[in-house]
Amino acid sequence: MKDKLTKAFKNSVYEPNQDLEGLIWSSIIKRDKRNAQFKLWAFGLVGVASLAGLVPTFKILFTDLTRSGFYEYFSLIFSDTGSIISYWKELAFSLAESLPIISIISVLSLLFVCFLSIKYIMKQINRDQLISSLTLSI
Amino acid sequence: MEHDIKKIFESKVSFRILFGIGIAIVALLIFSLGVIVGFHKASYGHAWEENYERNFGFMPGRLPLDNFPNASGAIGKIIKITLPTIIVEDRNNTEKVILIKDDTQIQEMREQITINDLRIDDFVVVIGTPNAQGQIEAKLIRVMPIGI
Repeated sequence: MKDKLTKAFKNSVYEPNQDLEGLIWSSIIKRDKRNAQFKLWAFGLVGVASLAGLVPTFKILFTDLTRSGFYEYFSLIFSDTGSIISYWKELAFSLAESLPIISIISVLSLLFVCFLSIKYIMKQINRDQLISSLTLSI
Repeated sequence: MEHDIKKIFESKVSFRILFGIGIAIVALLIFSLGVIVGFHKASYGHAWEENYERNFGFMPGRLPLDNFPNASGAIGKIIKITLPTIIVEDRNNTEKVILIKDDTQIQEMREQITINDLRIDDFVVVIGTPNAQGQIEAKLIRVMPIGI
């Protein structure tokens, strides 16, 4: 019985559907396109959110720079460059101590996220165009 | 052998290792700079509070709640002149005693002025070195124009 079954399977020739290859290919492309569009929206939202967050964060940074007296210490550099060279250490300490580190980190982090999102959006758009061209060629 | 060494140093892995070491060096430098600045501020803050009664003559004050005062400078109005010291009300309402020494440079705009030209309510920017008495030994005092 087992031998007959083996023989029968060996003799049978499987002929796949003519459209199978195209169907698999188009379903892969469809899934890739869906994923690309999801990523595009996700990165777009993150980008817009970080861009919107930059406005109040910049305001906070400028307020902190004014409140800490950073501008006044910085203006000393232009008052008398010659004498400032002799007091560079004190000036460097004053500038370092009056730097609003947290605000600067917040602004830089948001800028980083914003630029990263733009980069990925561009990447996704290119990928989307590639997928579309593949769809047209099928 | 020589070819192998050359191959190792030209590989991406060696570049990543060097990049990692470079980042670690920069991170450690920034960290040590932070430690130095923090120590500088904390030492001055401690001396400032310890000597508050002696410097200002009344009840010990409190440090600004959010941070230590700037140890190497002061910005604000002169509220008291008792030469050779002046008291400046800094940005966060912290009174700072500025000790004026013989080598202190005093400027108004780009002109050199003397210690006797300083007046109460003058707006000054001071840079200097903190001492153990909670004072700042001024190196440069710049009188700013009114309204700045």
